[in-house]
Parts: sequence; structure tokens; C-alpha cells
Amino acid sequence: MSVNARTMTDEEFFYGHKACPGCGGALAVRQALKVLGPYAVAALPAGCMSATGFNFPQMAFGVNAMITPFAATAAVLSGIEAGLRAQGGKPDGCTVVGFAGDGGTADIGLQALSGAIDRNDDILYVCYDNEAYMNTGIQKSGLTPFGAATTTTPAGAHEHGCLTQKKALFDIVCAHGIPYAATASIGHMPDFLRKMERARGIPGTRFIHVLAPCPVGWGFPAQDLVDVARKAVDTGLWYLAEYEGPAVSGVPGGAFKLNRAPKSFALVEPYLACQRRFAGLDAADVAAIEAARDERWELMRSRWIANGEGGA
Amino acid sequence: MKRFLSGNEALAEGVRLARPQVISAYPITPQTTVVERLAEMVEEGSLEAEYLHVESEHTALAAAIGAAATGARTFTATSSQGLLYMAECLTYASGGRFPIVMANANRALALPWNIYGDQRDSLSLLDHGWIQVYAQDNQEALDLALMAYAVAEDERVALPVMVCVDGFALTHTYESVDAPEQDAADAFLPPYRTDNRFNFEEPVSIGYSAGPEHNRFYAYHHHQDMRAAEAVVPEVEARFAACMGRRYPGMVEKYRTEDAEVVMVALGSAAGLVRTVVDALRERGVAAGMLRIRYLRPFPAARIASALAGARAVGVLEKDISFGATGTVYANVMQALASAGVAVPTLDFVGGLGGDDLSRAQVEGAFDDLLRLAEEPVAFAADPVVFLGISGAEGGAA
Amino acid sequence: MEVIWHARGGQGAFTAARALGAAAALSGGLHALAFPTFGPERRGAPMRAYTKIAASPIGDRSALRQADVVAYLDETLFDDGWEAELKPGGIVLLNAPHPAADPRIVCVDADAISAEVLGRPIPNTVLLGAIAALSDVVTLEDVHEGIKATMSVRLQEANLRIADAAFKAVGGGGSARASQELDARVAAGARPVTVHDASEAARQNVTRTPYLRETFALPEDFARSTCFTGGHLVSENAGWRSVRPVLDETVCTLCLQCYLLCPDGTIFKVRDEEGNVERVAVDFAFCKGCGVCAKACPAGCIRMVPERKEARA
Repeated sequence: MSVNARTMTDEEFFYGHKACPGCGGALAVRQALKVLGPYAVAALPAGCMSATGFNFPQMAFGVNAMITPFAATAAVLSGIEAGLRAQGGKPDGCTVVGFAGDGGTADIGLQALSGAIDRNDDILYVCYDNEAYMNTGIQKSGLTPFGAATTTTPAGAHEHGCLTQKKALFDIVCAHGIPYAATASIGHMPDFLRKMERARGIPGTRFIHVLAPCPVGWGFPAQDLVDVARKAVDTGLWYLAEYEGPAVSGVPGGAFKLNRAPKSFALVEPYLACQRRFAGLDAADVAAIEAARDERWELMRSRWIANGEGGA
Repeated sequence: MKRFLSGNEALAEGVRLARPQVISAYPITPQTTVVERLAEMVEEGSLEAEYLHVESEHTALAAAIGAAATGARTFTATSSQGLLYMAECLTYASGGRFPIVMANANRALALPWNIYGDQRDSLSLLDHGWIQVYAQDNQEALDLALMAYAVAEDERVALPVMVCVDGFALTHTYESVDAPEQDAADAFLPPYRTDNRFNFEEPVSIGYSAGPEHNRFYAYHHHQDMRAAEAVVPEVEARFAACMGRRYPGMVEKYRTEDAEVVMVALGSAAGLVRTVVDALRERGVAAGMLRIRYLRPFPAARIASALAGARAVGVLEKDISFGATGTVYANVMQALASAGVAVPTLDFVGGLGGDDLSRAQVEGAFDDLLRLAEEPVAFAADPVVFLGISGAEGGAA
Repeated sequence: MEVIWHARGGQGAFTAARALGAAAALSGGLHALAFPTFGPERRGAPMRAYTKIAASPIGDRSALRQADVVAYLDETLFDDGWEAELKPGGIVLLNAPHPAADPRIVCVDADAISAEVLGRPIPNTVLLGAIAALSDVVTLEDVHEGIKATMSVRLQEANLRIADAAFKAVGGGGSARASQELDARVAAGARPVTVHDASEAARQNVTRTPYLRETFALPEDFARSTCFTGGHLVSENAGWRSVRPVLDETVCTLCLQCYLLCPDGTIFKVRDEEGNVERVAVDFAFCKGCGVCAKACPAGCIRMVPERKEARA
């Protein structure tokens, strides 16, 4: 039975945390753990979810959970998995799962993640992407998109925010031939739940990159959380995709799938305009954002097999 | 069983006997042969362990921490820049109270790049909350691998232990070693049991954050339990003697210090040479002695002070220097003396850096300096640090 | 003079604390320290900031336990403990539209005063201006300099006007301090009354969900490792909330979108005896009032209602 609002467990495994109101990362972690159930073991590096999730004596995790050094999410996951296996295996339904932010994954944690995928350790790595170092107060990460103002890429007369494009993290992960990887958005919750469920059932290393907007860092009202996450997909600035490695798909090099490949995108301007971080952009910047999006989609459409809601 | 082993092989043998369940390791000279040997043991089936081929030292220790959090016995090893690369994880391991045992093959720090032995690596990380013990020879390296787990896992201690072995001087030097039987090792070291682990009946949070109102309690108990190791070490060594028939002298080893007028403090393999020189001096009627510090953390200050209290001059021979200050061992010994109110003239002999041979002539010259210091303390007032091989013709002070 | 600032993260208390310190140090010729409390809590969470002002250099950087002025930027943070933080002769400065009975409490409608200038309520500068009116340590001119030194040029002009308006509103000393209503609320603890907290009912289905506990360990029990009971909660998040969701059950279709999308998981399924979901209930001990549920509800049956009005009702 697929996991949805009706069928999912009534238990909450991430509860009473001190994340900001309307936190996309908190929603991602909450729902991921509801899919994985009570025997998940979670590891989190320094970041918003660990800083707000367990500060003694307020322990917001209802499953076993631990903090890792910033760069070491995947490393600690590997150790946990090996430790459980060495002592006679994991209990039924036990998934060793990591939750790291965009900086903790695409920047400082990338080496350890690569090592774990290389070893094909039996772990699930979830990157909740709020597109900047939010725990330290909104600094640019490798996954901050072009044009976004952060405290280290301030928008002014000379520069209009982040000058670099979002790192192609999903492609980097898939290039390892990982058994399963997916992108998701908390604005498309059923899709995210389905991918978590799929990941739960596959042995070996699994990776899910979920877009999780941050009202404070992006500059939008907390109640708009889900709308903003949804718009990111509708505009084509984020995409929903899956990858199955050779071992799972039987395809040399693995198989990509676009879960949504619309013929046309929603307008970019309203998405940018509803977030304070893009306030410094001019028409040329918006055109550059659209051009980069179109280039990305050309690559995805030409190399990956479009599937699912093709015409939506 | 008698075997002729390198220090690294001896260490690996000791680790095998301790039955670690998870080994995570990354190669670095001169530690590499430890992890190679362990990989062979896992392959041939003489060691049943999960062996993680990690991509860095940072991950080596982080993975060991993750495994320790499941209640598994873990081992890793490193050296030099590798130790520094994993330095961040050292405090996670010790603060989390995970009884990980790690071997460190003592090696110089870059730059200039150098793969040879000195002790600057581990001494620069004394403050990271690990127990640090230094082996004198390959037998001790093997035995410490076993005893380190017994100390680390003792519930009064619950701290990680770094077993330091001098690069090349021990790691790549072969000598006769008595390897215990597995039965004896099992009798000495029971399986690891702890509550500091994940619990699937009643889930736990591990390695959380603790704010200003609670933080001091963690530091206080870390300190107290590190101190408790000073009492646990002799107990462990007594049990080891009962099982293996080999005795160890506790936190420090006093060698002919009772009536000594000049005493040299030594760490690690250099103690062998100092011992030889002490014996020669004694034959010539010179009242020389040696104090070997085995455990530098917890720091046995009172034992050190009482062993040195009767001397007329004390030297520290060490393979490190804290630039702009003195050697780290010297600084610690001076603190022990000052705390105990022992007033004795001292010198800090810094040598063996970057694999430089510590020669018998240098150690003899150092003792000559101590004898002169005992008669004429003012001659050395400018700087207690003597750079062997630089400061004087014989390597002693000018 | 020492000032404790109570506010929620994001309300500008530390900016006010800094501006006051700058007023005293840069313009008033005094020494000053201004610092916030740093906690794991995020935007909306109760926080404090401190300003210390003295004639000689201040060496003590520790947090204040008592102060001459205790300022509340958010009325919902005002509770029974207020007197303990007040030095003898000290005053409370409370952002509230109605006067208080206790003569030590000075109420100023900072939301209204700031909204008039800015178009939205940002109370920090109002209380800054009020302090200039009530104390002889800093003048209004000092506060002007403090604002210029700590706020961006873009914000200065409006905030100078706000400070002036606040100075005038409080400086007259004419604002009546008697109100039976507030008196009654202070006596009642002034916490928002929980009107729809059905978490107990919801919790009948759950055993693994973190919950508030009273048990507490001694340092020798908890501080010899970093391994502690999971799901062990000791503080609520209700205090973060300025608005709360109110659900019209006559319109609710039980689609569970609110349940699915709540970032805090504070909406629970309430089941009948057969195990069918019969309604949803909010755990108001942990709801932060983010409003995601109201936005997610396709039937439009969730309204976000201000806590203050709710409390007064």
C-alpha cells in the first residue's frame, strides 16, 4: 500500500523541534521519517535540522538519531550501517538515513558522500536543499541558484546576488552509478513520499535531493512554503527526476526518468518576485535564469527518457 | 608464541586479538602496513570484522564513531597529516564517550614534507580529550592494542585511546614479540557492552548539542573520567599480567631514579636508548636515571613530580617542539613540578625531528649537560630548549 | 542603566538593544554593551537581548537577571515572572494597546505607532523612543544618533520619526495606566488561553511521538555521554505563535492536506472507535502558527486568528 496522508503512520518522529515556522527542511525530514518508520536510524550533520532538532534536553527525534561532524554525514552513516551489520544485522524495517542540507551535501560533505556511494554502503542519504547555509544565517552554498542574494552574495549596484549556477548535484551522484537517486520537492509531496518509499526498498546506497524552501532565507511569508516549492517545479527551475543505476535498471550506465516534463513552463517572474532574495535582479538577469533553465532542460530532454506527466 | 614482527605487524596482531567488529582505515606512511595486515586478516578469515575502505582519514574516524554508536568495538589507525585531517572528529569521538582505539604512527608534520618519525602529530592534539599512551617497543605496541580496549571500555572511563608508536623506529623495525593466544586474549578482554548506543526499543539521541547551561557538566565529567583512567590503568595491567604473564609499570616507568642525581624524561622508543646510556653512566659511577612517561593523558603529574623530586637536574628528551615555546612534554613536566613545588633545574632536549637519528652521542651529551646544570644552573638560563644536532658540537648545549 | 529586551526572533529586539547602546556610547559619552542571547531557536521563538550602560568601562559580559527597564516587544511574552526581573524602582515597558494597573508597567501601543509610519507593526524603535522619554540616561537626540549608527540609511528616516512619535506618546506621561482588563490578564498569567487543544485525543494513537516529560536527570546521569532519551521534550513551542489556526469542522472534508503539509506535524488524525479518521486536531502546545495548513486547505476551512484577540475573547 502506497504511503499517503491517509495510510501513513499516525506517529510523528520529528516533533517539538525549534525550526522556524514554515520550514521546508523540517517538513521534508518529518515526512521522510514517517515513510521510514520507527526503526530508522538518522544521522544529521551540523545544520538547521540538527541545531533545532536536538539541543539537550529537548530531543525532537522519535527515532534513534545522532549528530555528525559537518563533512561526515555519509561517513557516519557508513559506520552505523557497518556497526549494525557486524553485530548481527539490522532489525526489520531499519533504514540508516542521513539528512543533510545543501552545503552539508554539495560542498563540505561531497567527498564522504562519494566514498559511501563508491562502497555502495546500504544507506539512504536525503539532501534537504534550502539553497544556502541557513543555519549560519543565509550564506551562499554550491546549491545557491544564480541571482539569489545571500549575506555573502549581497545584491547591490555592481552584483545582483549569486554569480554561479546551482551545482548539478544529482548528475554528480548519478555518475557514480548509484542504485537509486531522485530529485523531489516538498511542493509535490505525493511524489516525494513515493520516492522515499521506493528508496526504502532498494538495497545499497540511495540518494534523494529534495527542494525545501526556507521562508527566512528566501524572503517569503511562512504560509507560502508549499506554493513556493511547487512554483519552483512549475517554472522548470527545479525538476522531478529519478535515476536507477545499472544494478537496478539493467541498463548500462543506468536509466534516467523525468517525472514531469511539461511542454511549457509557468512564468519565471512571479516565482522570482515572490522572494526577497531575487529583488535585485534586472531583466537581463531574469533572461539569464531562463536561458540556463532552457539549456538544462534541453540536456535532460535529449538524454533522459521523459515519462509520467509529459504534457502537464 | 614468539614471533619476529615489525611494530605495525605487532600492533595489527594485538588488534586482531581484541576482535574489533568494525575497522575503518585509510593508508598513510608509516601506518599503512597496519591496515594492510588487518585487511589480510579479514580476507583470510582470521579476523571477523567489517572493513570499511574509506576515502579519507576524516571519514575513517567518523565511520568509527558511527559504528561505536551502535555498540560495536571499532579500530582505526593514522599518522601525521592524516591525524590532523581527522582532528575535528577527535573531539566528536571523545565528547561522545566512544571507546574507539586508534593507532597513531608518530610522524613529522609538513612543511617541509617529511614521512619520517617524530612526535609532533599526536602531541599537538593532546587537548582533544583522548587518552594517549606511547609504546616503547613492538611488544608493548601489541600489548597496548589489547589493553587500550580494556581501559577505553571500562565504564568508569568510557573514552577513546590513541596508541602512539614511533614511525619507523617501531613501525618498520622488526624485533622478537610474544604474541598471546586468542584464548588468553578473550579471557583478558570480554566483549564490549554499553548503554551509549542506539536502542530500538527506546530510541535515543546521540551526540546532540548542549547549550551554555549544561555544557560544563559534560566537560567536568569528561575531565573526571579521564582522571579515573589513572586508577584503571594499573588494574588493567594487573589483569593483563595474570592472563599473559607480562607486567607493565602503570602511567610512568621509573628506571634507576631512586638515587639518581640527573634524570632524563623520555617518551616512546627513545626510552630504549636513554636506558642504555643510563646503564653505561651508572657503570662509570654517575647517578643517572630515566623516567619514561607512558600515558601523557591523563597526565600523571603527581607521579612525575615525586619521581623527579630527588634529582639535582632534570632533562626532557622529546621529538617535538611547540614553536616559540618549548617542547610539549617539557611544558607538561614543568607544570607537574611546579604544582608539586619541586624546584629543580631543567633542560628540554629536542631531537629526532623528521626522522633524524637520535644518536647515543647526543643522549650522552645531554646527560653531560644535565651534570653541568646540576653544578652550575645559571649557565643555561637563557633558554631551556636545546636543539640536538644544532645547539652544540656534540648535539648538547654550547 | 540596564535593559532586558524580550521579543521573538525577527522582531528587531537586538537592533533596538544595539541602537540604545550606540545612543549611550556614541552620543551620550557613556560606556555600553549590547548583546543577544544565542539559542537554537529560530524566527518567531522567544529571545532576549541586553543593553548595559554605565559611566565606566563594563567588564561583565554575562546575561542580566534583573534590569532597570524590562522591555517586551511582544505582549504574548509577558507573564508571571515579570517582577523577578525588575530591579527596585525599575519599570516594565510593554507593547500593548491598553494601559496596565500596576504603576510599574508602562504600556505603549508600539504596533500602532510603528504601523502608522511603516504600514506594518515593527515595535522595536517605538520602545527605544519610549526609553528616551522615561530615563534620564539617554536623550531623544542620543537615540537619534543610535538609530543612525545601527540602521541602514534606507530605514533611518522612518525610524527617527517612529522614535519621535514614541517619545511624544510616552513623554507626556499622560497615558493612563489603569485598566481593569489588563490587570485581570496579568493576574491570569496573560498567556494565550488554549481553546482547541485536542492533542490528548490525538495522542491516543501514538506511542513513539516525542512528548513533554517532567522526568529530569542529574548531571552525573546525563553528562557522562551524549546519549539521551529520544523524543524527550521539555519546552513547548506555543509561545512562538502570534496567530493560531482555527478549523471549521462543518466545512472540513478530511482531505488531510493540512496534516500532510504541516512542517511541525502538530496536526493529528483523531480516530473513532473503528479506527476511521473522524476529524483532525491541532496540538497547540507545539503549533508555531506558520499558516501552511490554512494555505493548504482546499476547502478554505482553516483561518489564522490572532492570539491576542483569542486570549481576550
